[in-house]
Amino acid sequence: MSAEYKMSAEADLPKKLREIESRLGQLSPLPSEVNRDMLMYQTGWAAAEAQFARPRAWLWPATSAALAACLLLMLSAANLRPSPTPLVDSDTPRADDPLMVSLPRVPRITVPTAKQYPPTATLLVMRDRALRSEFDSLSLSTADFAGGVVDEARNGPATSRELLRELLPARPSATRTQIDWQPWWSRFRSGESS
Amino acid sequence: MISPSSPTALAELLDSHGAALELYAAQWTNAPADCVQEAFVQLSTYAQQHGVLPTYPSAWLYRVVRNYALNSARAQRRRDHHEQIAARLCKRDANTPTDETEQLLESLEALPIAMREVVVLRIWSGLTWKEIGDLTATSSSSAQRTYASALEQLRDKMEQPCLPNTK
Repeated sequence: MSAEYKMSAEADLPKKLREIESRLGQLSPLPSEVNRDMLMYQTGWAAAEAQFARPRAWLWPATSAALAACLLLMLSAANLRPSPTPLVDSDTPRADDPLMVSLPRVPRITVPTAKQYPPTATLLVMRDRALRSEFDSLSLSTADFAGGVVDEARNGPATSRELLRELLPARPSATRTQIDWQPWWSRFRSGESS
Repeated sequence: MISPSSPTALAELLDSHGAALELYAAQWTNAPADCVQEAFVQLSTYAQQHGVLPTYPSAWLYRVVRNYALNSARAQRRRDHHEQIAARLCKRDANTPTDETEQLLESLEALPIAMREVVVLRIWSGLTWKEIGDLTATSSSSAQRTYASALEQLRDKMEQPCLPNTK
């Protein structure tokens, strides 16, 4: 029975009830059956587990917070970044470019125009256009291939004989020899032998 | 405040409350030592996690032991656990219980669980009325009234005359 219990002994309890209470207080519980050494070992083990489990409690939240902060930083940096300036403004250099001024001038190569070829020589026309760098630019659309240059090439010579006839200068065609068969026929019928 | 890092603190708690805690748990379960052991392990974990022991470690232990004992009783579905109350109480100055003591223990076992719990807590745990009220989810005045009515029932059973022999 504790001292506090004795001090706060109910004054309002009847005498008979206090007698029962004192008789109960004379009884005491049996000693504990708990294995003291085993209990100390288990409590120490539990305390160690709790101590090692404590860092894991903040490890994942801290990792998530760090990753979220990195993500926000990258997004803000991407939004605040100015638009990239082009490395080359134009394909043609300016006239006052010092690099261009220092370079020696190259004489311009004159390429004969297509008008110098006959209209039937489509391959020559195409070669002429290739020499004049008309096909170097990539601005050729599919329409050009569909109806322009490709059509000209498609309407060109289909065989090597036609190609030779187109490329080689035209020779005067041989005149057909007219044979007068009448004298030969009359001599045959008369029985003359040559 | 008891330092949670010192194992002597837990040993002192075990020495001062171990027997009463087992008696308290024996009202519901037939393995009260396991409940007390689990409660002390949980107390050690609590102290390590929070850095300090609970403000009232004895009341905390009684509450945890009660929860463990109730869970154990639900699992075991045993109804004969209350018989261990008598087996766990003995008279201090006598090795063999007298007839009067046996009658008192039988009367204690026959009490309803709510009344017996308050009697055990008040007589053998040393908890205050406020702690007993918190533990039994009642007010301190209600716990005192329950205690008084339990003592009245014990007195009535002790003073009940024996039935006359009909043979």
